[in-house]
Amino acid sequence: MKFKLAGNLLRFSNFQKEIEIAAMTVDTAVQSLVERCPDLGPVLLDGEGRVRQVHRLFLNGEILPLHELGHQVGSQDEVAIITAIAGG
Amino acid sequence: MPRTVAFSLPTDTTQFTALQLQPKILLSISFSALARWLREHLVSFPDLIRRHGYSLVILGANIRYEQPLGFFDCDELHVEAALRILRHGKRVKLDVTFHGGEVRGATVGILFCPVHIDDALSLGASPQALSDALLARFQPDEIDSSAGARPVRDLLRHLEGSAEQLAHAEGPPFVIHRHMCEVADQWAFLEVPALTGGAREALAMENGGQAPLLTEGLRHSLRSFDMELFRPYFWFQEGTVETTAYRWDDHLTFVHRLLSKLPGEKVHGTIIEQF
Repeated sequence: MKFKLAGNLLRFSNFQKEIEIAAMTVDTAVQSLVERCPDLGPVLLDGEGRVRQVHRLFLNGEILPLHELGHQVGSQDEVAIITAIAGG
Repeated sequence: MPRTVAFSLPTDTTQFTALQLQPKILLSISFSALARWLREHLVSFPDLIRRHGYSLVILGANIRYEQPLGFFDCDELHVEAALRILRHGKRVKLDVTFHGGEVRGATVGILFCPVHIDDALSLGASPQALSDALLARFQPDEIDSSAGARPVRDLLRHLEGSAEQLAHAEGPPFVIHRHMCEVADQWAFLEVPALTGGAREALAMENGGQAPLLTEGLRHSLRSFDMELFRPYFWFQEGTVETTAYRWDDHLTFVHRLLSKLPGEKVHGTIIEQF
């Protein structure tokens, strides 16, 4: 599957907008993502390793609630991560 | 008496079009007035974020051009701004006036939603009423329970029932680069007038032959600018401006929708410019 990142997350992904990850579920993909981009870890995950509430995940364009990250994914699936931000 | 900040700025040629104060400049100076108000009467903007864990996200803004004021009409702009708490700390309203000498050139209103910072690294945040500690620093006459007006919805309701459509187009994509962003690598709201102004001018030039009223959008000053924002664009994201021009009560009105192909809500904002 592929993660799509933008905005503030790019600084923590070495400016990669798209990152391919081999995984069976969204949550294992997220774990692999932060292993690949360690700087993303503190930004994406809280102290208990869960995706922070300020991020919205969209699986193939549809919102994926954070309590459903066990959703299975395949090689053609895309997850966009969009963050609610505090700026102007 | 509600507290204000007041300051003056020498005028320069970049603050004006050939016709009037640039809407982007009005929003930019207004946001600077917010920072001044916060620093003088509450806490500085950086401290609001890093020490108190709050910031302010723009929900909407409006500009009213009141009396004609051009570059050659004054040597400086006098700016005065006041801040109010609305909806029990869930909204904040900034009101700014711009004078050139005795001429009241424009007023600006900006409605904010306070957000609590969840993560200091990315500035990820979620809506939350200002804390009791921060609210305690406001005077009673700076706090009211009203929700704050959101004129775009009212204008759209009136317009869609009674206006004649003159032209419609969706413009080419734009990309959000860092020069259009604020500190958290998302777009800065004050870029919106540039996006909508460009779309309006292109529509007027393309269609003015078929609908001559459209050229009022090039020839005359803007009377008002009303904006409501729903979601941001982020650094490197693409968007488009969809514009419809109307004749409404014999005046020219443009309705712009900021769109993208991002997952979720497709409309990032709605803007109404009236001539």
